[in-house]
Amino acid sequence: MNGHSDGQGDLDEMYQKLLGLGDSFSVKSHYPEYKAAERHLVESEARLRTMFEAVPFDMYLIGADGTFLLSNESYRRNFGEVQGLRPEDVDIDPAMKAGFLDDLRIAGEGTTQQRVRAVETANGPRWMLTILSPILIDGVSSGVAGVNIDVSEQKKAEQALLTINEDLERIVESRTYDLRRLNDELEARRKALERALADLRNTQERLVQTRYQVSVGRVLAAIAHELNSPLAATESAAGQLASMRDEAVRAISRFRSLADPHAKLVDRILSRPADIPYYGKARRDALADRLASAGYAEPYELADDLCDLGAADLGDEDVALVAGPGGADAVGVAWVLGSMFGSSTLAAKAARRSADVVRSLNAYLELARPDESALVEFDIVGRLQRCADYGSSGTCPVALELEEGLRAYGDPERLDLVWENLVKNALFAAGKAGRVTVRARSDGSGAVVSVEDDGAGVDPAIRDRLFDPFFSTKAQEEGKGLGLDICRRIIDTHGGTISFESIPGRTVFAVYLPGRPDGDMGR
Amino acid sequence: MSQTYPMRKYVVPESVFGEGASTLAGRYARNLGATRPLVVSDPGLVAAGWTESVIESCRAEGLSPLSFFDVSPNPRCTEVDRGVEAFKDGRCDAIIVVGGGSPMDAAKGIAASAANGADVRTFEGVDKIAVPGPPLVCVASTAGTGSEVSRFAIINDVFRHVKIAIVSPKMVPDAALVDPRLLSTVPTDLAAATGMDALTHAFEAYVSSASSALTDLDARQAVRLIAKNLERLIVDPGDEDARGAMALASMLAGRAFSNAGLGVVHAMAHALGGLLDAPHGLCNALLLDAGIEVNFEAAAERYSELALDLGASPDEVASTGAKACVLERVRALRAAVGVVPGLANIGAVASDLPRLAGFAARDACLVTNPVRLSADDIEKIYERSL
Ligand SMILES: [Fe+2]
Repeated sequence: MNGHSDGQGDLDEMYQKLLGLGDSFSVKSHYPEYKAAERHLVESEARLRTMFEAVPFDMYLIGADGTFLLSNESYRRNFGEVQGLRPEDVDIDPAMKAGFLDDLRIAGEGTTQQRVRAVETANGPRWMLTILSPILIDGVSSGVAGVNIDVSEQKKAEQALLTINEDLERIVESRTYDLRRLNDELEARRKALERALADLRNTQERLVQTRYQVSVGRVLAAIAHELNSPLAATESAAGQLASMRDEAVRAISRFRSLADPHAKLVDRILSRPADIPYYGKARRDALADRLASAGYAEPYELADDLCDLGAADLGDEDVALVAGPGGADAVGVAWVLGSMFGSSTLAAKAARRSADVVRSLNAYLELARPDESALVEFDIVGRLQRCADYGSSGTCPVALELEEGLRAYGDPERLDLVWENLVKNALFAAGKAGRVTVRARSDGSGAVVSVEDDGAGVDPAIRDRLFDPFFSTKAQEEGKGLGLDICRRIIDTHGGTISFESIPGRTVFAVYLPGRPDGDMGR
Repeated sequence: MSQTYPMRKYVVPESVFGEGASTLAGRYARNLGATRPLVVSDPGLVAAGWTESVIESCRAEGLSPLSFFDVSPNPRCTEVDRGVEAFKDGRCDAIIVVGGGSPMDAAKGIAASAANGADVRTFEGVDKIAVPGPPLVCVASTAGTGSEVSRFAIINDVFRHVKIAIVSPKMVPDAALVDPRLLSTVPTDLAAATGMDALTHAFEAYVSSASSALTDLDARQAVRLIAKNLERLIVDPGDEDARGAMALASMLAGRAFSNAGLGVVHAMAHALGGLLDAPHGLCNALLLDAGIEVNFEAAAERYSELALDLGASPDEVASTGAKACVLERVRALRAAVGVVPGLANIGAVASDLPRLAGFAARDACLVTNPVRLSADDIEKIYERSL
């Protein structure tokens, strides 16, 4: 034997292992292991079987041959002993049997099936959850394990929850509706407020305008007052001048009676019409030529003077007379006298026109001034009937649609101005072939008078200015522009309103007059 | 041997010997609880048709056999891995192996690896397998390996280029079916090599430090049968008596070494086979005489008995001396079956020897060698055999 430097211990150990006397090598050496495993299996099975039997729902196993292997107590209570039977032969509610057998087949092919079914029982309808799971052994389906669980309580709870959800939804919906309505209401109120604010602004504007107009009125009144005296003086001075002219004429007549040819010449020149036309250069040159022919060396100035006096077409004798000695002097006398006549006539005319203006201003101021004492209850139908008279041969007729027995409260005279104004405007707008209708009807305790025409309508561009003072759509000759402004002022003093609506072919001005403040006027 | 009857254990699988034994494979598998046996074999046996007949016996028993034929001579650990994969993929529950040492050792490796979920290389050594494998039915197809009855498996570790010896009672098959008919298709050179392997098994078991009265019976009977029948079978492969005797000898030698262990010759043969991928029986044939020389003094009496079993007369042993006589008989038989001595013939070179000696010194077979040998001692034996 040779010595070993290392590994001696290892070899001895290996040798002992190789002899293996401590081990027993036999299948039976594993007997305790097998027994322990079996015991474990038995205990495990007992535990599982106890659970299987005790669970408060149906459990069952169906083998690979399609028959029941096992069923638990719950299942047996419901369906009786089924071991060895095929599911087809078990007394299952026919309504669910076909579906159950389908599920069983699919589960048997390896896919778990889970379904809730409604089942009729002696205790009324119940909801049953069936779960069918394949039993896989080495990945191969070898039967099906099934459970049936009564899930009616869950189902009921689910439905209760569903109802609660629906209620909630309804409540939310109704709250939403309420909110929306409230919102709409607020929106309406906001709009009403906006309108009120706009009205207020309008009123304020009107108030400001009114104040402005009142102050303008005062100024106008002062001007009228201040103008009155000088105008009166001018008028009387003009009158005096006119009478002086007459005196001068008489003096010249006397001068004329002297039979002096020059005096007669002056008379003839001055006897030309008061309204002297303007003569152009041709006429003036023609006269100058005639004077020159008659031997007057510087004829142009003289011709101008004669033309200014209206004597452009003197006879040949008078031309000879003017061109002759003393003729120019006579023309000079005539020019002085003629100028005096002309000026006095112009002064008188101007004074009259000024007085007219002042009078109309006064009338305006008068109309704008409310007069409580003039307000009475009156027969408005009678008044409005006069409107028909505003029509004439140059206009279309005025149709009347008046509510019988209608009465109103106000100043009939001044309101007449309103009706007249509105009707004349309407007639103007409607033209000769158009149609104008005046209507009157009661409105609450008040009355509404409207005037409708079928004219072209009010141009949108001027609607806002329609009620401005001195505004007019008519030519200067036809109106003074005070019309609608005055109408509005008159209606304002009655506490009423005037409004209009206008589309091409239909324009309606409507006046609302409130009733007597202390009550019903009756009819 | 300080005691005449030292206490020894003797384990053998349930065994069936005789013509037709292979047809019982299916029934044995079924009796062992198999439903899907993995049938392990090699392409040569498949071609000979023996594998198909075993598969047929499985079908006849209502089993669903699966096949794994990807096994080469000197089975590799990688082949074992593939076999484990086939076993698991096929959801197999038993293994039936049809073949010689290579398929049987591969099947043992597959069984242990599948059951323990561990690489087969981790089982190297004595008693390293924790969990027994699935039922294993061995149908032996060569006369020599004895693996069908042994607790040994030799696997080629292709990563270290060494054959590892796995020795474990859990490697003992559950049934050994030895059917001499299967030997009829064994090529002559393989029959010679396996026969010499069986002889080495018997020699090493008989001189083993763990030998026992029971193994001695097997070993000596095996040597006698081999001495009378191996040369006959090589000369006349159709000799059914010789074939049957060799099948029996192989089985007996297997029982002997399985229980008594082996020795230095196998340790060195394993190292050699791993490095050169040379046939196991041939390696043993080339090393057996050198092993006898180094061990003779420790078991001189036993070697002289073996000389008698090899056919020498008591006079011959007495006149030439036991050592010379047994060596002469062994070398004569080796020559008679066509093996030319010299490791150089199988490709070994001097520079390989230290490495081979290193591997052999760590081989489990060395444990029961009657003489404790170091790597240096082993290297010298290699040198003498070169
Ligand atoms: Fe061997």
